[in-house]
Amino acid sequence: MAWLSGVIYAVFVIFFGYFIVLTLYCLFLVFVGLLESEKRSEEEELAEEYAALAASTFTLPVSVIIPVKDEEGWIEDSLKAVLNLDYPELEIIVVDDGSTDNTLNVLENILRLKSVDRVFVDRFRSGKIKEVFDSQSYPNVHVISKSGGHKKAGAINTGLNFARGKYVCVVDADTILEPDALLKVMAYVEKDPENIIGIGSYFGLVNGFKIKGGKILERNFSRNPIIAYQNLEYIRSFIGNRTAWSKYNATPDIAGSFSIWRRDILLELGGYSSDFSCEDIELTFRAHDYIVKNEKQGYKIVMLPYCVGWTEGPDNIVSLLLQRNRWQRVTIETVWSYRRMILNPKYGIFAFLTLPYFLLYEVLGVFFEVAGIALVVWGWLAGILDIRIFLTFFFLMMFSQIYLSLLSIFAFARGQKIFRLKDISYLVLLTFVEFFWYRWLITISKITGTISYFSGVRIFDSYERSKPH
Amino acid sequence: MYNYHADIIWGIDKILLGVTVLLAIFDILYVAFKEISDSEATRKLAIIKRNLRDLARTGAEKVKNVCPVIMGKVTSQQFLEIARDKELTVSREFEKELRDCFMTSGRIGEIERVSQTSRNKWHRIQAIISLGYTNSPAAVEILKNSLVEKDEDVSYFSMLALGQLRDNSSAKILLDYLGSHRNSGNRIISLLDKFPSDIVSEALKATESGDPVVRFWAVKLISRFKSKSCLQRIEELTGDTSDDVRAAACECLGKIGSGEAKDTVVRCFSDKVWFVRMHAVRALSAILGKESIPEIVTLLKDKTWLVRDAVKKTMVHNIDAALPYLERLIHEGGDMLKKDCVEVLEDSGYLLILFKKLLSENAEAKNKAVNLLKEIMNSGAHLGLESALAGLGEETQKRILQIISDIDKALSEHIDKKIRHQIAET
Repeated sequence: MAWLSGVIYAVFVIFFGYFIVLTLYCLFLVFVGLLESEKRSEEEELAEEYAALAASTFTLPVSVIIPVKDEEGWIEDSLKAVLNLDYPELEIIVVDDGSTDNTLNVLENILRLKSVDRVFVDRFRSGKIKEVFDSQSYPNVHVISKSGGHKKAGAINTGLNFARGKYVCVVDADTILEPDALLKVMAYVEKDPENIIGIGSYFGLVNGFKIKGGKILERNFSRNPIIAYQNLEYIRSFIGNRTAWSKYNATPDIAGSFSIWRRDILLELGGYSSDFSCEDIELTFRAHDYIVKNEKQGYKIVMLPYCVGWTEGPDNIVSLLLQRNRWQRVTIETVWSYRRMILNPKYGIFAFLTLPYFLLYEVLGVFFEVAGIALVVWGWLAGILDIRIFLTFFFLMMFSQIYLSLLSIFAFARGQKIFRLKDISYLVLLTFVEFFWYRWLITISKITGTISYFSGVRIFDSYERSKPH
Repeated sequence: MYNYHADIIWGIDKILLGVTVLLAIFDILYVAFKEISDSEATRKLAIIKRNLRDLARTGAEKVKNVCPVIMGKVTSQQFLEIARDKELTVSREFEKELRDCFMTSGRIGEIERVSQTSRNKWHRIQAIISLGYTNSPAAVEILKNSLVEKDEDVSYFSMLALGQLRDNSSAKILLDYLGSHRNSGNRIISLLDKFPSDIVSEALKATESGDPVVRFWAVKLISRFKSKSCLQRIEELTGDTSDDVRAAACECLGKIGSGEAKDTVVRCFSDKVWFVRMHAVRALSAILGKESIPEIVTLLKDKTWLVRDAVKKTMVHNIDAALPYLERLIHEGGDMLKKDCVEVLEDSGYLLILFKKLLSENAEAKNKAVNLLKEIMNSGAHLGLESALAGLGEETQKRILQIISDIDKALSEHIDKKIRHQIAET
């Protein structure tokens, strides 16, 4: 049994070391994120007369692309929210990616579509265009009906073929934007439009909200723990991690629900890739690659903490597992595709700060956790390990996670006025029980996602959707 | 036996438990405090704004006496909120009175001091922005100095504050700054966009800059004000070495809209760069309207489709003037030219007029229309005949289809089936 004790001890030491490094790393990110979001919130408060920017003839033109597939329940509200955007130079391109439901009819009802001939250059071979429509109600809105089969990336690329703005904003069909979303983000871009090539910002979950005609009537944050935990995750991710990475120009992902890219850069990159389970993270990695290969070190990919909108999240365990399965798959796909960048000095801080985290936590973390916990539990059951050791370590993991979550909540609460006292209190309470179940759900989804990746099975590409209230 | 140091870890656990509980309580208390203080601040600000609104209605004399008392008590943050309140500053006079009374309240000295010396960056920036809303004589000098500071935030907010001052001296500083911060061109010009038109003289000076980026943005700014006094200089700039400046100059001449610039714009039709030619077409169209057609029609043969597109758009909007040229070009031109002509006819809605002429009692008009229809059909371009016919009555459709049938029977049958939805395009 001595050798077994030795193995368990070795695994324990490795896992403990891994855990300590990860915790310190996260703590560093949270503190940097706290300072950064503090700075950006001050900017948001002080900076701009957004109304003046909205009225200026020199505001940068933006093309909003909304890829849509079978979104009859959401498209009316999300499109109307985009139509309500307070922005002077706006072109809206809705790409219907072969919907089989009533999506096109809903668009027809809102926009009064008229079929037109339109010249375009098919740069991406992203599927056959069936018809191009102009809106008779809104002259700046165009709808493109295309055949499916090239994933969301194909739909965005089709929109890109038609877009004419200097910047392209991609918005998911289940995302409700705040009216000042574009103004706030583009005001930041206007600081340095030659160098800011990609930018995103924080968004939360819309579940529980009352929405009518694209306008949010009531912000009732869902008390469904599945939704609330996702809100907590978004806060940790956007405010804790991404804002900190952004400070060092090491942002790994401009999330697809709301992302803005300079159009010329997207064209040079060859558009979005449909070879991956999800297109947004891969594009961001490719953009970093482009910056280095083309010696454009001044280029920046930025993440802001301003709340720009609200997107739908899965509201039950099965849907959550399916979504996270897909996220895990795309993370592995992307990290594997760009593995040459990890710890490669040419890629600077992105290679040393962000990519190791992705490799060690997002990709390999699940193995560390499962192997570590399984051996410790087994050691305890086999009588080799004292239960006290198991429990002390369990509590250490739990309290560290709670501590990091509470710091992220604090950073978030300082810069926003949307979540009220009762919402924040609920999130605070949930942090204390997260370790007993939600965390393990995410671990399960990561395991299944990893299995899906290695087995090549792609059965989880969509999950059950609800309609806005 | 291996030592897992359970006691040490347990000790850390206990510390973390304490810290997390305290942090949880702190988070909740912080949010509660923030909510209360925010709502209190909002309430106080609402009262001040209400008092000022009441004051605005009482007449200039009372404003002069009471306003400094009110403004003497407001914080910098409150002053900013008041200055930015569109309802309060809707009247120019009252906006000026507010600024004046803030000056006489004695607060300006404090703001000037903070904007230059505060160690708290955000307090300093708040003061810098406030300066932009005051009539402080020292504001321009302070902002000019802070504009060139190394700290990017201080520099950026100084730029925004200068944008609030809206006078010639701040415009000059911003235009000079553009030379060293070329990437901020769009932002600086969007600030100058709101200035009174007097700043055109500064913009005109900037067009003499050796830096093409500065010249480009100066021309864009002049475009915004459409100042005729700049016409001569802008005409000179159509011969600039920078492609962007030449294009911007053409665009500017179009915005100014003076017929005196016609020959200059026409000369740009032979520019080697396509987007200069495109802007020249648009400019001449803006200057001369339908009278530009005889000049621009030659560019319907341009090798760049965007230039041709600009010509087509002008022709679509002036179809009557363009028609004689289109009829000639459909007859004489090559395939590409014929297609472009047909697209102009289709986009302008001329097909419906053509249908009317086809059914006309006047034999000469009818013959002319039939000949044009033949040329159109033989051009090989997409005609849009189905959609144009679909909107007509059944009897009219039949008569026109008969005329089409006399020219091309197969096409007539195809259109007939499509109108009746017997076939669908795939």
